[in-house]
Amino acid sequence: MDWKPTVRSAFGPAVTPDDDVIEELAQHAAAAYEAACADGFSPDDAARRVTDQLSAWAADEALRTRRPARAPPVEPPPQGSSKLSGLGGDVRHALHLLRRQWGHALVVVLTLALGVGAASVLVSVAYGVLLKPMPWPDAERLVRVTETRQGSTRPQTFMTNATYLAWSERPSTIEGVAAWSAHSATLTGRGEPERLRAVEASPNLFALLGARPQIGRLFATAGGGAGDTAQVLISDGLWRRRFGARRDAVGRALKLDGAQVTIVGVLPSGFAFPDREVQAYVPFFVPPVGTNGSGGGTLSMFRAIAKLKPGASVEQAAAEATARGRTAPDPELVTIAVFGSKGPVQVSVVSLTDAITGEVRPAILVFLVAVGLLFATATANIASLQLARASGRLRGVRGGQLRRRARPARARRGRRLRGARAARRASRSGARAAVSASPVMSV
Amino acid sequence: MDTPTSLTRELKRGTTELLILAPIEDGPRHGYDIARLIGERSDGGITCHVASLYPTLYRLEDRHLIEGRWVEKAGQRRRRYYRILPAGRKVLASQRSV
Repeated sequence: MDWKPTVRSAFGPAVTPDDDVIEELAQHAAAAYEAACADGFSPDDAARRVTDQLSAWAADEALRTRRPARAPPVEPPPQGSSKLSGLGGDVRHALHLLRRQWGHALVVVLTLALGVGAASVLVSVAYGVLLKPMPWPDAERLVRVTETRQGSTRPQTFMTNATYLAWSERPSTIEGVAAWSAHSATLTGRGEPERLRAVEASPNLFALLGARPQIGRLFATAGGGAGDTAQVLISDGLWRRRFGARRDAVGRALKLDGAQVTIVGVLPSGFAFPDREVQAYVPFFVPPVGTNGSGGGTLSMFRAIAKLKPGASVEQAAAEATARGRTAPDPELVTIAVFGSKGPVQVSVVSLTDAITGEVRPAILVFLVAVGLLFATATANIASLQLARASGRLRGVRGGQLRRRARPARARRGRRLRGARAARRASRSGARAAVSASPVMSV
Repeated sequence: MDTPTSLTRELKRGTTELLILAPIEDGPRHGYDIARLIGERSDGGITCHVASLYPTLYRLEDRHLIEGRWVEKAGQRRRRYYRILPAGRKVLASQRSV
């Protein structure tokens, strides 16, 4: 039974108590009614008891006039206003709800924060590693070149000078191939000695990467003499740290691993090859293959990148490099020592992007899927939380309906209790009558 | 909000307010529960007049001795629960020491 109409009518038509007061009094009335029925009162008697209470409430001035403090209602935007005019009111209403249900809001915010945070981190990593364009012009045409021998089971990440020099002469599938090799070096000569990462690079490396110095010049493409190797290109970071970004750094002398070199140029701040840790580049001129006619000789090995000509594929480049490599001089004994096989040359050409990200791509993709599922789970958790709250309200309404259906059962129980009480009263009065009639006992 | 001195006079005259503060000292309760507890703890010796229960609750709320809040629990309609505030605890403690 809904007691709200009864409570309102008790106050009379002239008085309009606050809705919250009505609801609270109605709940008390309902609880009192159920308690009276449970105590054995008939529904009519229980209702009469509650109604008497309502009359007393209705007479109290405090209840008639009470207006609980509430936040003012959010008024809708006036007609004809712009679509955004109600936005402020909606935001205020949302903030009011958040303050009122701060515990629930906190759970939701933390859950969303976890999902959004994890997703943001993984997407940033995935973008930086897999999707972000390489910082060089026409980076999609840059390829990594590696060489092996048929029958070799050893993983190879290098190219030999034999194949390099053979392929460099009038290639048809590439614009050029460059050699490089990274190592650690000690820088001395100006300021504190410093251990840094340096790269030996063929002079055409920077042309392939489309890099230009911000001051000075690049290495000359021809050369190989002692004077030609006593040059260094330094990074922007080293230039700022050691020389205070002064332009007169070009032409100054340094010592790398004890060898005197002259700064010929400073690379731009965005340049990083093969990574941002490299601070200095010295020229490397690929030497010819040395053979002694008896199967011995020397081979130089280094890392190599090439730039495909427009329209050329990695397969075409690999086929050309393989064919050229098989025509190069071959110090067999050295080849066997290095590759574990004296089979014919086999060159592999792979996109530079794939070469850099190939090993981590599957892991990153798995993490991306995982974090996407995590985010979906977080969202589903919040939706479940909202549904649980909504269903709890619904059960409260249905519980009231069930309680109203259960009232006849309680009424039957009340009648049984009244019958038992009547029986007890009857037995007591019968006992008193028996005792009073007895000449021995009195009460 | 009244000063403690005026509250002392009022509460000495109105023991109903003291009776209502005590049951909610241990935790929030709604109106019917408060009335029931007053009856139980006094073994039925004291019956809180329901007619004065809610006016007293509202009066205590206006004086910031208690705070009423609608609470929605699973399986129930929302109910208004009252909890004692620090000022209410002070008044209760001072009344017990009187």
